[in-house]
Amino acid sequence: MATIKHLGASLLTLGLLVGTSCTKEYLDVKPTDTVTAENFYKTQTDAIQATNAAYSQLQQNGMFNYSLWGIGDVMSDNSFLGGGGAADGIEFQQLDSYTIPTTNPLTTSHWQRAYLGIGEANQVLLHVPDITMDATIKNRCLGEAEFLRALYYFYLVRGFGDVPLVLTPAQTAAEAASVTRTPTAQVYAQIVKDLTDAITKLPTSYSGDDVGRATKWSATALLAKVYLTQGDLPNAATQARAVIASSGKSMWPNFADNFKVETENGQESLFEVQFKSGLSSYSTDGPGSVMNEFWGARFYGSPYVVSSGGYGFNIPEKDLVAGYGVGDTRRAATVFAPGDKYPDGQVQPSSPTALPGDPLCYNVRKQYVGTVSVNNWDSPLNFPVLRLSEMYLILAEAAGPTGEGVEAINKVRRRAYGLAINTPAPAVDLTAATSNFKAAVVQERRLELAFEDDRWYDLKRTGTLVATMTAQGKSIKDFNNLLPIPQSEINVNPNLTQNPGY
Amino acid sequence: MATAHATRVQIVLERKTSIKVESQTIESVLDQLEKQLNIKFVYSPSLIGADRRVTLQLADKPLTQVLNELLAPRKIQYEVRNNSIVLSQAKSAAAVPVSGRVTQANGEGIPGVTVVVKGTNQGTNTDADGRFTINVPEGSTLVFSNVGYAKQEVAITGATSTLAVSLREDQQALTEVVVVGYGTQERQNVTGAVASVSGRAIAAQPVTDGAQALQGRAAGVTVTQNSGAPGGSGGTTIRVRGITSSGNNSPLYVVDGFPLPASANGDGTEINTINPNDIETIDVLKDASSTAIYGLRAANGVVIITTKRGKAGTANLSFDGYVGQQRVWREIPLLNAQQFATLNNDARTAGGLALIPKYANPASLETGTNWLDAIFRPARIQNYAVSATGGSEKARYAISGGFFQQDGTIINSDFKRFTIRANGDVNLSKKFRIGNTLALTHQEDHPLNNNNNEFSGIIQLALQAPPTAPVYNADGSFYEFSAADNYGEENPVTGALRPILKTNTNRVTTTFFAEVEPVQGLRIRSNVGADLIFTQYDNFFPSIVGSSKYPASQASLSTGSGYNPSYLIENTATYNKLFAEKHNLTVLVGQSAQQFNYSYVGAGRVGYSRNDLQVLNQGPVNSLINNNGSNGYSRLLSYFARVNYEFAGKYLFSAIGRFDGSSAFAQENAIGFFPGVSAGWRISEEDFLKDNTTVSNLKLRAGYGKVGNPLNAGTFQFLSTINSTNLNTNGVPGTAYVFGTGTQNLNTGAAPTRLNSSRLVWENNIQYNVGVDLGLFHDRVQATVDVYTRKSPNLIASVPVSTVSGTFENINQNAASSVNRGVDLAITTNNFVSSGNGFTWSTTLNFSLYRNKLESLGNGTPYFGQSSRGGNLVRYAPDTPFGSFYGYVADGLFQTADELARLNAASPTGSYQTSGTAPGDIKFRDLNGDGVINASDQAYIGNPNPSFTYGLNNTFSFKGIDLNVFLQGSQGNDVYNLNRYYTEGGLYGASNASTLTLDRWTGPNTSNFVPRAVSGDPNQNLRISSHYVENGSYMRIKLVTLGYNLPKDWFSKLAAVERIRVYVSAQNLVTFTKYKGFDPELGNQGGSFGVDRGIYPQSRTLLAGVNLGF
Repeated sequence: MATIKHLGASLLTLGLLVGTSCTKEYLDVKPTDTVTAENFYKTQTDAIQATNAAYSQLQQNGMFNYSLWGIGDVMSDNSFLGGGGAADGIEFQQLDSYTIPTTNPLTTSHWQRAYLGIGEANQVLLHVPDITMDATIKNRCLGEAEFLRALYYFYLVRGFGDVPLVLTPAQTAAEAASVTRTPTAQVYAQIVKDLTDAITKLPTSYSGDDVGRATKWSATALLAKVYLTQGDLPNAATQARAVIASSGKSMWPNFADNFKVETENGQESLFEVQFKSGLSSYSTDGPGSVMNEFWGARFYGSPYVVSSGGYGFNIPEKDLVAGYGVGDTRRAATVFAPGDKYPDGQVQPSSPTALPGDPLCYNVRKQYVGTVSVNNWDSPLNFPVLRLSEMYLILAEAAGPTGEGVEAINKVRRRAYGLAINTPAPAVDLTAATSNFKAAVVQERRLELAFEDDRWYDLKRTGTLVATMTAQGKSIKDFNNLLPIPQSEINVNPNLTQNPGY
Repeated sequence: MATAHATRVQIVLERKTSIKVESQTIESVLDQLEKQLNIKFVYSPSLIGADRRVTLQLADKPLTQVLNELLAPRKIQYEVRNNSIVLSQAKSAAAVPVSGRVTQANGEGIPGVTVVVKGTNQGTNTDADGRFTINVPEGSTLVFSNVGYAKQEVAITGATSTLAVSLREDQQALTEVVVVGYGTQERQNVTGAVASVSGRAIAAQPVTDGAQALQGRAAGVTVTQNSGAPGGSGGTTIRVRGITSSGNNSPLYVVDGFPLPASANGDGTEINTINPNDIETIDVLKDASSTAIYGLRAANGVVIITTKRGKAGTANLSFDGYVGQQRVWREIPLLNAQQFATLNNDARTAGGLALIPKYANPASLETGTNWLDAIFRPARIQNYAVSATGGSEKARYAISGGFFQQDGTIINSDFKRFTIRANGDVNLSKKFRIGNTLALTHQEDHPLNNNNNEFSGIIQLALQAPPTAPVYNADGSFYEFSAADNYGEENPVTGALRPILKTNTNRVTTTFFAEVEPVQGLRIRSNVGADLIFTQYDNFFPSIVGSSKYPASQASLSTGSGYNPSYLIENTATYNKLFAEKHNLTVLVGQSAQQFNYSYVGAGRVGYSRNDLQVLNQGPVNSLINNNGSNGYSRLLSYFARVNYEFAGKYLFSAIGRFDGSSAFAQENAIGFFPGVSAGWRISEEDFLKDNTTVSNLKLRAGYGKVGNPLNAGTFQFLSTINSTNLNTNGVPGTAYVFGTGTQNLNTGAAPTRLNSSRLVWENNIQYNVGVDLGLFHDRVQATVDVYTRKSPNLIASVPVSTVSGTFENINQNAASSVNRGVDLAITTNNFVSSGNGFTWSTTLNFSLYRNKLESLGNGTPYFGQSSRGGNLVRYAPDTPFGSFYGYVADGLFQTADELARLNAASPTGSYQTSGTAPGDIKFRDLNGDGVINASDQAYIGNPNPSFTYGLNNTFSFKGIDLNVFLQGSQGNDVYNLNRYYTEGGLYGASNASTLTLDRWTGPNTSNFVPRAVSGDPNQNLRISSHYVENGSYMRIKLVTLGYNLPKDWFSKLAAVERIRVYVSAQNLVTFTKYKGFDPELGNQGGSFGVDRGIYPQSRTLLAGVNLGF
């Protein structure tokens, strides 16, 4: 009995002892299958993964996979939405018709994802300098982060005007909710600073599994475009010249080779958004591209011309298609027109009733890959951000109707017509006497870069947006030169002022 | 020395003393004598009946005389031994044999009734036929008690073999023992709000999950079955006193003292591994003054399940079995092929589209396929349970085995459960007791693929598939929809039959306890236990030869193995003492530590070239191969105490305090204190009411407590974690990116996508409760009513963060608050009571109502809960009830072009709704009067919370026949009928529709409810709107059971069989409702309730069974 009694008493004592003396220790449990901010940013692998994350936004909803084709092309004179009518793609319809609520999902996502990318780049720039690792890789990571931060800010500042310039990650929600908008010039200064530094840090090229990362020439090309946008033509010309002369890149003889899976990251490419199929379905957040299905002809043919049938969005405008001269190979590479054949033998119809929402039966071809897998919204085709031909066009615009400028644009035109680029071709060449040379360059950009998400920005920077879109019958106002600051952002940060007119 | 002491005591026996006591216990008299004479009595209070009250008046008499007068009449003898006086039961009080039978009012024997000699541990229990035999001291009292019956005492005056005892059924008997957590209390002493349901009421229902049997049985406890999927695998939603949080509102389940880990996603499957036949009682602690003993986890009530244990006495062996058939009680009527083709043609014509050739001539079509008929089937349900209980004073056992099998009412879904339970208790000595519980469960579930998924669930597919297509092609292969059907979804039958899904669950729940009583009234108990849950998933999706939809390249397998153990160690000490006659004090102190582990390993491959080897290794190694795993643990450490004080049996007081520390939170916030206090006044024990013939019981109760709900705060949610998820997960963007050449590689990225929220803690609940217990006419009428308030001052709200921070995810903050008030009412009446075999009738009514609302969101913004096809549906905003539906307000249909033109003309945009709006479309109400229907014209369009719910149970018996009729219902709750959303989709697209669309608008005033048919739905009639909100009120005859106890002489030749009862039972026999979907009873789906998104419907079950006692 006594033993048993003692056993009971000692069990209780044991229990209480375990409790009182070790409470803190017993409850001190750390996550065993999650990485926290405290134990990350320690190794080279951490640094590379942090850098990869900064790229990840490019292939997602708010950037090139969704928002940017709405802003860059649907909002411009290149295309209209098309689709199934009624509320089909209502968020794109709002852009198309310039009735953009402050809650528009595309503009909202664009802002959010750009800042998410900036945040991810900021983490790299904050933490990677302290990591002990290979110096070359460290430099590369920092250069990539600077390039990406500049790229995201370049889209933000062009889209929204003054935007908060955040260069170090916020620590608390309150801190993030107290920022104010920074003047455009200051944002541009930071972009130039980041790119200038990135050029010194980034390698000139990659091989193998690193292909697709930003190079020195990606940063230089972007800097040329930034200067052009700012109107700093001499600097734009300098940077464009540097790319043309030293990047080792050359234009494809065949324009269409820029938009093929097998020639991705090819000889003309300066920077592409990388897409891969087989891993995602019905996601606008990659790694598959949605453009194959969203831009594919609507419910055409059987079997479908793209996985499960296209949606027929982003329909080319008539005057864009008409702008291609006879013999311009870019038209066929850019647009499906009635009578064009798909690889499986189907023919693009000419009957307006056959393709709902598409009265002229045009569809975009640049991102067409056909049926790739049973997944939907899952195209592997990369999306071009900066190509060498644009450097020629920047040089042409920056240098103006000089010998250098005229030759630059003519190289692009000769290639378009399937001619040798260095051999004068009077039939297609422009000359110093070409009237309104700048307008000719801008039109050439339209034809060359159609559906590469660029046209709206060209119209804006050349001051022709309102006039052009008014001529298109859109009820556009001056304030539409800027996008609305997302309402959800103003809700959490009252310091953010709305752009006038919204 | 010993002799000297003995002599001294002997001398003491001669000492004179005086004593005067009136109605005091023998024990207290002895106490007084000990003090007066400085002597020591040694005795067992229970053996000598020391709590018997005596009146004694003796002046200046020797102690021997005092003892003789005190003890002799009470048959207590004394002897001087060593240095004390030892009292024992007088040998002269001869033990006499007593045997007899305990019956219910209808004469049916009650097995397992505890029979004890009052004031002792001596006892037995009744056999299967209610018979017992016991030797008892003459002149003592036998106490007969059993859960669910009023306790009865019978004085024994001599030997008898024909003692007939009839126990009255009594759900809320005052003397019933209520399990209150770490102990028990008699019902009459309970000061909190506790509802109890007996195992008999549970076993009487052919339910798959004991939780379902609570439905309508306990006031304030709302129970809904989440789906009709077999085996209760969809879970059961139990809401104790409404809802106070937009997240998980599940109660804590405690089985035999083991607090079970919460089920994943709050799906309510915590106890579906328990064989309902094994349950002795379910007690539901409802208010915080009682739940506070479980502190941090108690905000949503505590459901305490006690399984059957052996009792000393005759062994009982019983067998219960039933077999039955289930059918879906209602099918939504769908269009046949001709009607569908006509609708489709109308829609396409109105939409300006060419007709689909296949449908162009409806007259050429037959009636076609009814896809609901193709997926539903009559399904078998069967259950067999064997149990043996018994033992002696020294050791007792309860062993049971069960097999339950249920086919689903949808093809290719079924469920099996095997259970074994072994509970034991051993008295090692009078002061030391050990015992255990051991439950083993093996479950085999074949669920449906995409169960309840509103895009690809089998019900959805069957509601929408065109009836013009056959199930099978002429060659026997599955028909596949193609461009010719203008429809591309899966054949519903293929969707049900092709996937081979297996979920096996093995669960072991075991506890061991040791209890010592070192001094009388003090019990020290250690309880250790483990709950081990093993889950194995094997899902194979075979290819189909010749199919373009299911090629070998897509044949896939996914497999996963989870192991979720939880470990418990608890130590408690309970001290009970009656001081100075009137002060009864019980004190509990204790400690508890529990650890919850989880681990998971999963893998999958795609591209199986053959279908017969359905294992991981047979799949190809390609880029689609995947594997994943996780593991971790969390801990809870607690100290608690409870004091119960009762004065003179009239004034009751209880106080609880519990400290809970949880590892899920930041160290500085990890520990919480949870108090609960309550008081009761038994007015019926006061002199002025004591002898009242009408009021037999009247008690007032009031309580307050503060308790927690950790389920929505998550584990480690306060940390800023690094997101390295490849793909978008739950709306949070992935961080991976593609590099490389050729097919390229997805490269892991990593970034913090959520800011930290270090101050995050659990949600608190502050509750007040006031109740009255009333018994009238010797408790023939009993009523309990409780009124309560639950306040949640720090609900977790998901607070959006400026994305300028570089992070995307909302952070959880304790920002919101809510209030929930309600009333619980339970009335039991014994309408007819017959002492013999005559007619008896008793009625129990349970009634519950609550009103909740979100009061404030703090710095959070209104947020959406469940979304659905068509958009966000459930929205949480201040001053709205939880789970409210949010959308446009439908206001009939546009009847004429003029009506529409007037509105368009008055609109600043020239278009009131959309440019495609035409007569026959739904007219939405312009709530802000700006002439345009847009997002700001949305409002609250429905409340899924019922006005009240109720259960009404009637039990009749007459001469061996018993009849139980159980009605249950819900009133005033709205349902968002997404089934109708899907089946009206046929008005606008390529899918089928319900026959409701036959009454569609075809011209002015042809309908004001069913819109016109038009392809593409230009008016967005399918937007979330009040058009799809329906009254979900229902009353159903949930259960009817008719049983008959075969007269014993019919089977007298079967010597071993004591008792045979046969019965037939119907579940969900009749449902009265205006609701147009499958079933208005809708549990928790995706975090919301009252949303009918094509849930596996409940069935009507008819079955027959037998109970055998040996």
